[in-house]
Amino acid sequence: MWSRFSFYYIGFAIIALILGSLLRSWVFLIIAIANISFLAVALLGLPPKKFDVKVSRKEDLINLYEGDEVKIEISLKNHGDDIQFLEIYDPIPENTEVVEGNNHLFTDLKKGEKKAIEYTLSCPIRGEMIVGPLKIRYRDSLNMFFKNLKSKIHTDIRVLPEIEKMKNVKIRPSYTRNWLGNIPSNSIGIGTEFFSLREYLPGDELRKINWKATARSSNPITNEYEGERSGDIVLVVEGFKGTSVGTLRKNTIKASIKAAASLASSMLEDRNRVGLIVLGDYLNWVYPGYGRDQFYKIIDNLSKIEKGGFWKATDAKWFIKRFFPKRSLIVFITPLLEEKSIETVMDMCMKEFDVMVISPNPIEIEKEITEDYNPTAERILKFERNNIINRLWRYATVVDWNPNEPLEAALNDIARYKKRRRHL
Amino acid sequence: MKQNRTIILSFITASICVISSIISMQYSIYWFITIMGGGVVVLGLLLRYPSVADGGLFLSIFFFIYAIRYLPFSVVTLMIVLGVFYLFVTLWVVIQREFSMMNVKRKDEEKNEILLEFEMKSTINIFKKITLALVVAFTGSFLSLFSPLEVIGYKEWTGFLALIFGTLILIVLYIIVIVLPKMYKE
Repeated sequence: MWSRFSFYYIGFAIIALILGSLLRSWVFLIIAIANISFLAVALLGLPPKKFDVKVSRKEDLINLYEGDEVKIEISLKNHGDDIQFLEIYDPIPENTEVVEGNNHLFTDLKKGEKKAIEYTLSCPIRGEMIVGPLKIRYRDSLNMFFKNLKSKIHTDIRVLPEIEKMKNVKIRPSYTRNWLGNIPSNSIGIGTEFFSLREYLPGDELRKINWKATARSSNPITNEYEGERSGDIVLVVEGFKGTSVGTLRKNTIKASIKAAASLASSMLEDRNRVGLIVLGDYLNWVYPGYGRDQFYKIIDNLSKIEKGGFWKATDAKWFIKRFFPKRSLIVFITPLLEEKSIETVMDMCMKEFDVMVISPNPIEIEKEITEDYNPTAERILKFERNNIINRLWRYATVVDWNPNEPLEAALNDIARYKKRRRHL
Repeated sequence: MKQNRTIILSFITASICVISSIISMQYSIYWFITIMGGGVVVLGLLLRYPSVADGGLFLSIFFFIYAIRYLPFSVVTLMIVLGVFYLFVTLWVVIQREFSMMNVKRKDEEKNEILLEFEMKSTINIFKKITLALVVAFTGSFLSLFSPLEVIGYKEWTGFLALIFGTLILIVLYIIVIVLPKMYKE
């Protein structure tokens, strides 16, 4: 293929020829010859007849967490003729950044030669992305000819939301189900904590016999344990456009997703059934379930959240009432910026739902990114927010979470506060 | 580093434009347009607009040639015209290469041996080809201007025909001797 520069030279040669003849100037005619000579020499850089470069990637699919870095490794093998100048470009998604190496380079490739390209990509924003396909272009040194080759192979990258490991805080639903879990149920069942004593009954395990009590009463006595059960938890993540505060890299929706992923991980480890409802541009939901698969289902849905304005908190209420198990713990993750969300939470509490609100604080995010900080404005906003939170505290547990700090700390504060209130 | 390269290239462009303006100063009142064109090229380089730089170079070359269009013919003037023209062409090729490589991230420039190696190879290749083109152009011009068709003087269309004739012979020779053996080597 001829590049546009070759046409510039041809055009220039023609103009010089015409002007040379019209003006009867030998200078213009010499320039025409010089241009034609240049074009003739440029023919040395014609693309190779056999232009065949095979591309292979080390990995087709990469899963990683938000903020992690990934190494992209590509290998090239020239099955065609010698290539003197090769431009290689591996397109990367918009929200990623090359932190080491290059995804765009110029090199040469001899016949049969292999070359490896490596670069490290930083993925600060969750979502599904495609790296590639690799674009290869032969380009001669004078930029007169080029030939393109496009590989079809690409790497899919799934950037999962960041997860905070919570070791000391456990969120437990008030209502438990009949299946085994980690929540003490205040009733006799299968568990590890001692609950009471009773007379031995045929069929009781020998290891459950309390020998000291048996010696005292002269009848065999068996230990009874407190049953440990699990409950159903539904995480509701609000991705409504109007509630998003912050930049692309730091915003309330990102904080909400991080909270949901961290809670899902912790709750599933406690053998609870966890479900998810995502409100945003589309309504997506995962029915409560157990285990690792469920965790990946939730994470997968969280990584696809797109902020939007169609589905609101009121829709979640309708959805939970009809399709989700009754007496589930509803964990609303919302920045509490929409009056309708606040009303929905209050309404659900009044209809005997067990509700907990985790609210990523938008003021803290705004404070961090704003250029013209105004302390009076901050005070007013904080005052308004405190009013909303106090209103909600009458109905549900509210966690006011500063996204710049660990979620576990905020949950710990609430747990301590609730414990104090119980003792009063 | 990238900024330094652009500044050096801008300085070279300005120098070439000033030299060519000095050459053309005594022949035409349009000599200053070459410097203006150089200014446009520098602007294009600094603002990273390839089309602005291309336009500026075209302006400089064209008005340099236009200014010296009635230069008296001799072997020395022929060499001056070809020399300055190829200086501009080299500059254009180097600027094009610079623009195409501007997208390549140069964070680890010092470490990126592949890129440095490519730059070295392409520079050598560019200068080899330009030198070859200069030799071919000089021989072609010489042949056509001193051909038995009495070109010098340009009285009639014979000059024009001689020019085409000389160039065609050169191209055919070039293709037969250099291009064809290379293409059918395999």
